[in-house]
Amino acid sequence: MKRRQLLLGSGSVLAAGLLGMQQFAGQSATSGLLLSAYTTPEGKHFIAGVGRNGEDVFALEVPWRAHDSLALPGNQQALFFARRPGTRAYVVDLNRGTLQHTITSAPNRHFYGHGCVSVDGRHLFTTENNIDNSSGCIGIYDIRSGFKRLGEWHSHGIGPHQLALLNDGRTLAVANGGIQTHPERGRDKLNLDTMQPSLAYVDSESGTLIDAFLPPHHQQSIRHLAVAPDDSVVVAVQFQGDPDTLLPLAYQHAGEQQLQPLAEDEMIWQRHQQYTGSVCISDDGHRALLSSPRGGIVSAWDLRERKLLSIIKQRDGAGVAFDPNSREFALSNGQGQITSVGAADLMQNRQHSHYFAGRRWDNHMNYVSENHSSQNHSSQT
Amino acid sequence: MTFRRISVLLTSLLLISGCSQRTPEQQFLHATTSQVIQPAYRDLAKQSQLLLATITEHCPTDDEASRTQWRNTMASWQRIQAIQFGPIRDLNLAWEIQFWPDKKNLVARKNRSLLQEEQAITLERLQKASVASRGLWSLEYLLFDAQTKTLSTPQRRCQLQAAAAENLASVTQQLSAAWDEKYAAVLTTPGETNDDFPASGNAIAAIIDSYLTHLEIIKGRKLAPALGINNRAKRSNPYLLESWRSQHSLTNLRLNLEALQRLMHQGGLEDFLMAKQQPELAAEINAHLQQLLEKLPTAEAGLFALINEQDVDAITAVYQQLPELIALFKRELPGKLDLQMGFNSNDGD
Repeated sequence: MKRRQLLLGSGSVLAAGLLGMQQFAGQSATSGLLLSAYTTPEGKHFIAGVGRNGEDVFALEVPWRAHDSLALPGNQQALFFARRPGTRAYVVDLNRGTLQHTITSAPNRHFYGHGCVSVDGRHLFTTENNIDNSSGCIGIYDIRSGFKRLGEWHSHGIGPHQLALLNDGRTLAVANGGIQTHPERGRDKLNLDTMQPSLAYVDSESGTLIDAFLPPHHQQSIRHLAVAPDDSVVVAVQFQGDPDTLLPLAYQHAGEQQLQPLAEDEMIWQRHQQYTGSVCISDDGHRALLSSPRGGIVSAWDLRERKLLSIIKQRDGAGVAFDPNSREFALSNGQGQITSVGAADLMQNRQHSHYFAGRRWDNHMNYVSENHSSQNHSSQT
Repeated sequence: MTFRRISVLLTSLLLISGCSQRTPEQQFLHATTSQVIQPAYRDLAKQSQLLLATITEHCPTDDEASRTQWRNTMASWQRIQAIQFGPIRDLNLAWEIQFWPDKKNLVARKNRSLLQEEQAITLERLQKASVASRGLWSLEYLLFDAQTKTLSTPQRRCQLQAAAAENLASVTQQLSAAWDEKYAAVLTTPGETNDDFPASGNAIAAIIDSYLTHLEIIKGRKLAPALGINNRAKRSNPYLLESWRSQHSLTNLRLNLEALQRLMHQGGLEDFLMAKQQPELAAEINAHLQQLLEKLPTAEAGLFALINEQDVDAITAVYQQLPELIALFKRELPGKLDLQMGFNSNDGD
């Protein structure tokens, strides 16, 4: 898709934003869209796209609070997944800024809020709960036939959350959070004593478990992950155990026998307050950013040396996306702000954050460029 | 700029700075910042400096003088312990002052090895050691635990006390200066170009949320473990009290509750609630605080002895009333004042 096509799409919601975007056409540093869900103070839920200069491109009200998003190959469409235990996924036409289609989960299944797409662009994989027996599954959908559900694989764990494809185009990395929930019990955690989270590698073509790696403590819920270009995986943890026990909240895995902590120092993890939101890796695989809304920080890491580089203050910060054009990370928070941080110097790039009054940006944000190059390996997928 | 323009500008500045022109939100933020937070941090820096001076002058001949000034410093900390945002978080200084809860007894273990090693004790040496060997809890161990006297020479014990006090004085001075020089302005001038607080509601929520978290800490950390509530064995254990070595735990609780009264009165929360037509909520918070203070045991023996002797009815009554006050901070205040107390941090995914 050419920039023009995105800009010249029709649709009333989009139209207001077009002027804003056109104004900056030609400045590659400010092109592209950030996708994120938000909630208003009145409790209304939206899915939205905003330009890199803070301009609105689309904002669509949806009945269920949404979680992660994902641009489909070609960047003509994006998906937003309902937050668990939601049963909807929304398909947005990025040219028009309109809701094109709503996917409903299969009977006795609900979404966990994340998904990813096969390399050939044919199949969508989503993390789902099998409500009948509380096992985790990976739903498989045919994108070209109106997201028809083709079947499912076992996620090889309970409570699968984020998943991503490795660069072989075949192996799925799945964050099995380990926490059992049931829609009738809302978001209650039903198995904290016996939970067993894992990073599972699952063959997307056969559903076979290739390997699984458990964190050192059974209450280190592995929720989110990101895959680097060299296929090393960074997982982000939410600790469900004793609040005074400080364990690592992020691990890297690149074929070792065990997950490798990004740091051992308790002082670093104390600042994350037992909770991480998103993890996002730069396209060169050198940098990872890890958000902690409870700690009010985003930590920045050198993945080659597994070293903390800096701590960025970010009140209620959760969403992190990487923009390869400007080589910036974008951070969003529950106070309605979006802040740009340079990938090299990790300093805030513009004088102030973009502020969107009345928007509580939900966890997860994704960057969509305006050409065909997708960003599925470089950020949350 | 013409004289006329300057005078118009000056007049408008005077209008803006005049209290009567402030919104209730601005008044609350200014009152809490300038009447509660900044004076408390200044006092903490002052008491810490006095603690250093006392130790330097009186160790090892008069430990009681140092213990008294340690109590003054701890009291000062308890008055501002609820503020867990701003410079203390941004500069990562919380553990430099308070290494507690300390389930692995690291404060004692790290100090023991420092007392017994050969290397000279200096500020630099201490700053390279574990953070558990710094701060008020470390000084409590060094001043109140009899064990320390058998571990090394009085001279070495005094060097370690002085180094810990020097570090504490420096850290608390840094905190106070950070508030006075920068953060007070950040907290009191929310707006679109304020990266910390884009709207006044965010700044107010940060304050209320911090006091709410502190109330939950009082209930869940300062009381429940020592009383044996929520643990599997249901066994009380006075060694899990916040200041068991110094027998200061009961005073801490009193100071924490009085700090909440200070937030209501000098900090302007009561006036803010009045301005928002919520006099009942203000009265309810005041009544709870008054009742909790009245329920606090007054035994001279302190909380350690009471729990040790299973004489826990009075403190259990305090524990049982805390959820009602917590509910006011968690639901009523945000509801009545239209505050969002964290979105992703509250129930992320």
